[in-house]
Amino acid sequence: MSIITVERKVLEKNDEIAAVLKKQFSDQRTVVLNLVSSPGSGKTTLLEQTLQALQGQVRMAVVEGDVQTDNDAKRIARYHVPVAQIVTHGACHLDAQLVRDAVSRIDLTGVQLLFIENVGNLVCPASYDLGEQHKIVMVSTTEGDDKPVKYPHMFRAADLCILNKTDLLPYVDFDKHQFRKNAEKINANLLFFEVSAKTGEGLQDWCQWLVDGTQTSGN
Amino acid sequence: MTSVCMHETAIAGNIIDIVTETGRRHPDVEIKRVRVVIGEMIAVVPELLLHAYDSLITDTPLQYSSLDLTIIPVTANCSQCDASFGIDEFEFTCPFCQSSSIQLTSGHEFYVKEVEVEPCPS
Ligand SMILES: [Zn+2]
Repeated sequence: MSIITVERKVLEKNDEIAAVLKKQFSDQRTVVLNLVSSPGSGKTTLLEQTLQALQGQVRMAVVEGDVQTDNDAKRIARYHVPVAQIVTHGACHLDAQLVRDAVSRIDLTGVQLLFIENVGNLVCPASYDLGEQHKIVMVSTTEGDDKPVKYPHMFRAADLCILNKTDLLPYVDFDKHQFRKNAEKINANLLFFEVSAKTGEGLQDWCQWLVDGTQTSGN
Repeated sequence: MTSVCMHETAIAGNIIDIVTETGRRHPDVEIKRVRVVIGEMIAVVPELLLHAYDSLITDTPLQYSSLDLTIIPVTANCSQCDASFGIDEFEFTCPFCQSSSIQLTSGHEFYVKEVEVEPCPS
């Protein structure tokens, strides 16, 4: 029995493509946000509200990841922004190759903000760099406030956390202080936003953060 | 989870690609064991990865190989009091001074370290 040294990263292929994407995005001065959550947290609705609110102010584009359908891309297309759909046919995460193919189908010239809506899943997307500047983890108040404890990898990988459906807080068994404590134990640097994509509550702060982000990136 | 989620299959596929390339460069040997180092910060379930590997190598040149995982625990260094410690249960605070300003010193590893080979049976 003898040994051959290999010393190669398991995710090297993904990371190489992600590095190319990162450079492309930064050369174009496009801020890229990778949005992750469980299914049904309201990512698409938040995106719609955001596109509506920042229309005419920020040039935006969307990459929509979905396991089966292109329904979300159709919803997004109504806001007249470039949108590329990725259907993963059952796969539970987006990888850098899929994102590269998707962005090659849209014109990113002048786009200041690119949203990547990941597949609804809080486990697998944690491992995949998509060349984004920020990973954003979204949880809604209809889920448990122990979500960070159940999905520590994602909460550690993210740098921003959005709590959605705050309009339902009076009716659900969700302790938002406990939620925040749980999340901060895993990632003390997380930035928090509380929104209701339905009523528009909290949307202003979120949009302001987005606008600030595009400005510091030089646009 | 609503979708069938097996990203361990994709990961096992990556490992197999890397090892197959190594095998091609050493046509005179047979790969018996594949040693992969994996930090606990990597969101992969070891049992699922082993299972995925075994099902993917059926009827390939790697069919007589087995995957060997070395799990690396998460450790950190406190920027406040300079203590070094292990992270249990994903509590990212210094157990000595309670600071959350810490740097992880291990746990993000994820690589194919080496393969154990035997001369090809001729
Ligand atoms: Zn300390």
